[in-house]
Amino acid sequence: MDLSEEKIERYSRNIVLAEIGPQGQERIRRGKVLIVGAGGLGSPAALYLAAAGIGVLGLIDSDKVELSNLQRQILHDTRSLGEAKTRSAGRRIRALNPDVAVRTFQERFSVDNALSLVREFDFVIDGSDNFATKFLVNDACVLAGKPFSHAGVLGFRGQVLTVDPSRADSPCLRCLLPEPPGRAETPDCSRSGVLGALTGILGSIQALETLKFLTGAGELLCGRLLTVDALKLTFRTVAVRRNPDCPLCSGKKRITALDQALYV
Amino acid sequence: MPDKHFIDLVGTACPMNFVRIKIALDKLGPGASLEVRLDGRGAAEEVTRSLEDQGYRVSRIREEMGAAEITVVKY
Repeated sequence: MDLSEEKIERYSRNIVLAEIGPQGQERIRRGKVLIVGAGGLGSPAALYLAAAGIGVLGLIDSDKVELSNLQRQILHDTRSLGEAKTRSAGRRIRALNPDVAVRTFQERFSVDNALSLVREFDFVIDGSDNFATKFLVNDACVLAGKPFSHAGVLGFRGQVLTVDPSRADSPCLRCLLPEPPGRAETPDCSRSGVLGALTGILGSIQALETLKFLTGAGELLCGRLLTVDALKLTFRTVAVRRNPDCPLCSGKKRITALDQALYV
Repeated sequence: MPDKHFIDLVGTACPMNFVRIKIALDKLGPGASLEVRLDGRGAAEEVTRSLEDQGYRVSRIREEMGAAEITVVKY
C-alpha cells in the first residue's frame, strides 16, 4: 500500500491511532458504503466517512433540497435549494475529499432496487426518516447478508443499533419489532421536530460504526441498542438478542423475499 | 546481516514524525529495525513514548550533533 504525501498528511490523524494505522487506512480506502437517505442522519455520516477516506460512497435519495432541510441536513446549503439531494451531496463530498468515489442514485430505495444495491457495498447506513424504509433496509441487508447501521431520531430521542447478519449475537430490527409500527403511530420528521445537532450525534455514531467495522477496531453495537435522551444527555445501552421467532432472521423465517406489502 | 533501514525526520514535527515512522514500519518485516533521526532529545522521547504505547520496541536513543536518533524494532 502506497500513500502519497498528500494522503499521508490528510489521513495522518487516522494513521496515528493504534487501532487504525496504515493498514486500517487501507481498509477504509477499500471500503464501499451505501447511505440510504442524504438527510439528517445521512449528512454527518457521509461527511465523516468522506473525511476519513472511504473508497466508495453510495448515496440514494429521491428528494430535492428544501429550506426546512437546512436546519439539520448539513450536506446541503442555500445554494442547493431545489436541487436533487444526490447532486448537492456529491458536490459537497467531492469538495471535502476528492479521493472519494461518489456513486449517487437519484431514486427511492425500493423493493425493486434494494437487493441489487446493497450487494454492491460492504456496509449500509440507514439514514432514512420513516419506518417503512428502515424495515426495507433491514430486510434487504439481512437477506443479502450485509452488515448495516440502523438509527432513528425524533424529538429529543434517538437510537442506534448495528446489525451484522453473520453474527449469532446480532439481532436484526425485526427481532426487536416484528413489524413496522402503523403509519398512524409514528409521525415522521415532517410532523415532529428534531434538533439538527441530535441527528448529527447519531449520524456520526453511524459513521464511527462503519469505520470500526471496516478496520476491526473496538466493539460494534451488535446486540446493543444505544439510546440517547438529548434533554438530559443520557446514553443508555440496552442488551438485545436475536429473537428465535424472528420472521426474518430466525429458523422460523416467514420473510424470504422483499414484498411491497411488507413496507406500507 | 540484519535488516537496516533509516529515515531522516529532522524538521518534521509531531504528529507527522510519528505517522511517518508507522508507515515506514508497516513496510518492514517482523524483527526489522528502523533508525530514525529526529529533531532532538524532546522529540525522541515523545516519539519513543508513543511508539512504546503502541507496542513497538525502541532499543536505542542517542543524541548526535543537535539531533537525536532512535532505533525502533518491529515486533
